[in-house]
Amino acid sequence: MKPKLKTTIVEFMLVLPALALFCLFVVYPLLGGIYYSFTNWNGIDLNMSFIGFKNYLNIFKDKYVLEPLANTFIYAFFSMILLNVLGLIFAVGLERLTRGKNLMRALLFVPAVLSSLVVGYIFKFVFGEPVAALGKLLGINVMANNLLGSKDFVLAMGILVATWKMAGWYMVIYIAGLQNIDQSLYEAADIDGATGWKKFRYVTFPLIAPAFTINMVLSVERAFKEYDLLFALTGGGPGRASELISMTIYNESFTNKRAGYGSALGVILFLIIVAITLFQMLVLRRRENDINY
Amino acid sequence: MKKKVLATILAAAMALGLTACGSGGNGAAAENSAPAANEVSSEAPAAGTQEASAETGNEKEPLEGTITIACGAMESEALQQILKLYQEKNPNVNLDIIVTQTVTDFETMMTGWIAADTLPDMYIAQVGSVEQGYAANGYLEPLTDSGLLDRLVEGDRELISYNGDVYAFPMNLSASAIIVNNGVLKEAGIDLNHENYPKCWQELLDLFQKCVDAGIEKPISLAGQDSSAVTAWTFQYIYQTIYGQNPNWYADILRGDAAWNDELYMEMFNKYSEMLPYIGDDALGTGSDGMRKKFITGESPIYFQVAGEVGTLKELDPELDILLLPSAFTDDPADQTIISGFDSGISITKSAKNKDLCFDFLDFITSSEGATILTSTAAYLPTTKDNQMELDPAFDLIYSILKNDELPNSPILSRQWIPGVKEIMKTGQQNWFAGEDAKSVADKIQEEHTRLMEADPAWVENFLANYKDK
Repeated sequence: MKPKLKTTIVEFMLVLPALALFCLFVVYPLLGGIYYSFTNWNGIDLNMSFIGFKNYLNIFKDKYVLEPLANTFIYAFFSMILLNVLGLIFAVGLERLTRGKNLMRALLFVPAVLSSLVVGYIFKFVFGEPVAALGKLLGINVMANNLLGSKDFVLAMGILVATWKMAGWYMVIYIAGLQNIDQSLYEAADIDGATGWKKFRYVTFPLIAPAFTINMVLSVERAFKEYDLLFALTGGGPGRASELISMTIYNESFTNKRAGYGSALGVILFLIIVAITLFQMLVLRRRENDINY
Repeated sequence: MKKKVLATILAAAMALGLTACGSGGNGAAAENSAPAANEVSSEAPAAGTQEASAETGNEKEPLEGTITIACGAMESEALQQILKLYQEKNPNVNLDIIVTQTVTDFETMMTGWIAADTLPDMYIAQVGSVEQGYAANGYLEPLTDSGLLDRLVEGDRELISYNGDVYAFPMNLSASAIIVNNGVLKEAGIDLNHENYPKCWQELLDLFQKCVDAGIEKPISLAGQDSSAVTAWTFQYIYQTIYGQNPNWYADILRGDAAWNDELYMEMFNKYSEMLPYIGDDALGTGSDGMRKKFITGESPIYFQVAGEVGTLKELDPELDILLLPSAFTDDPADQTIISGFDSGISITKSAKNKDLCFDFLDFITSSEGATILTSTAAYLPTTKDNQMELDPAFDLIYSILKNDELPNSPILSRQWIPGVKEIMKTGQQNWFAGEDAKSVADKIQEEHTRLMEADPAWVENFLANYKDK
């Protein structure tokens, strides 16, 4: 046996356990979900019928799906911007601290390791008690009556809470990017008389492009899959004002007993995430390649 | 050194986070919302029980095995107490309890278990159309010939039956009622009793006004965020008032002869509007915990819910003086009814590994001893003839009404409705609270309901085929 082939076999054998688990817990359920999406299964009956693309065709004219889908796009867009802006500000800002840098980083990272459900319930209390009390004090009715009870504000509050929770996580990725920048570039910029903003604009930002790519892709992908935080915080209400597509999938599958339709929605969500991720990768990788080091 | 300190802080933070993650399920339990299930292995000490068994000269051979059972949190607590007694004669029997927090949680879990063919041996769940669906698909053992049903009090068995067989033994006589913080009302000089409780809509409004006059600015506590709470009044109104005028209203909707935006349902919004001044402005942002808090503190001492809520309230404040009143939404006192029906049914699944053991355990649960423990712990109204439970004073009024047949019964028929109806009503109520026009809300409910009917025509067909006009 050729040594190269032998190495390949050994490598494959090493990967095999992980691959088997991946197939069992990811590929198999995924294929199962795709299969159910072509049926009218209600989640209870032993029998189900194959109905072709009917579920998929219905989705695109179902306003009770399109409304949460629109909410999800809004949620993903604004949380992506806020998470990346704040993550970057935290990373760059803390980099300049001479004392307490690591402590501050740790404190900002802590919310990211908390359970989303716990964060959701904590903020439900925060909006219902201290924030409402502040609203009463300031005479702001919408705040006094709980911002989570307002159809106009509830989604924005969800985005803010999600940002509070995860900004520290994105900060860590940006810190890793910042630490990879050659310090001599800043020294050269200093010699050229570059100001702080110009150093950020022309040195820091281009050179953290890989971190930026990762954060942009992950923040969007996570936002599209968000469920537990908003479930605990708002339950999707009032009405459908903060219902995300993941909640619709759950409701259709389990509450409305339309497991086939819910599976089709899951497949659509999967395709949306894949399409957006590929688009982001294409654009952001091209940007990375265009940067002249 | 600095790095070591940081590492310690980070480790502590991570541990805190993980602890918080771990308690997420419990947090959800408290909130009664998150889609989570906890498994509790209940192995009560069995030491010495064999001796006790020998002393009593038990003739029956002790049974052995573990029963997997899904149920709610309070039922879980009761089952563990029942198991301890059961183990006196069957020391090698254990329970593997799967706690589900809400009806939706349970039904979600059931979908997974059905798909994976891993149904629990037994479960305790809300009876109704979904349960009947399980029976129709052959997932449940019929209890009709078990002999256990002789222990059940008289009542409408429609919700626990399918095709002539009974598939669940109900342990709770659920009542949908007006829950009053009697202590707070007494302090406000309002003494409610069997003679003067509200018997019609105007008298109920008068009660609210009396509270306001006594300084309770917003007497009604409402959790606009919670689907159960925000729809409780609506459901009670439907059972009592709409069904009072047309007992076949829902069947008529399915036939296309009635609608969610017809006059009967629209009238509900008029009454709700009359009640609105007595509800806090922050209702839409209030969750079930907030609602209970306002009730217990006396800020808003009245709300609408099922009687099972008493158990939760007593757990929060054991000293609470509560009184349950029958719903009072009809214009004429002569039309008042009490809303009640069997609930919390125990079923045995077809796939139960040890059916003899399951039936024997069910026999014990429904015995005088077992039923007394279950109903006392879960604060249920008993459904078994021989039950030694000491009834909480909160139930005094409605239990005496039920016992003496003082009011006609309005059955809880909504549980026969198409799955998903509660979510539609929740969304509708929230939209109405948020300021949307009543007609627009009702039109949307009708539209969404039609959508559900179109998605499951077989369910509609089956419902109408088995429906007997009243």
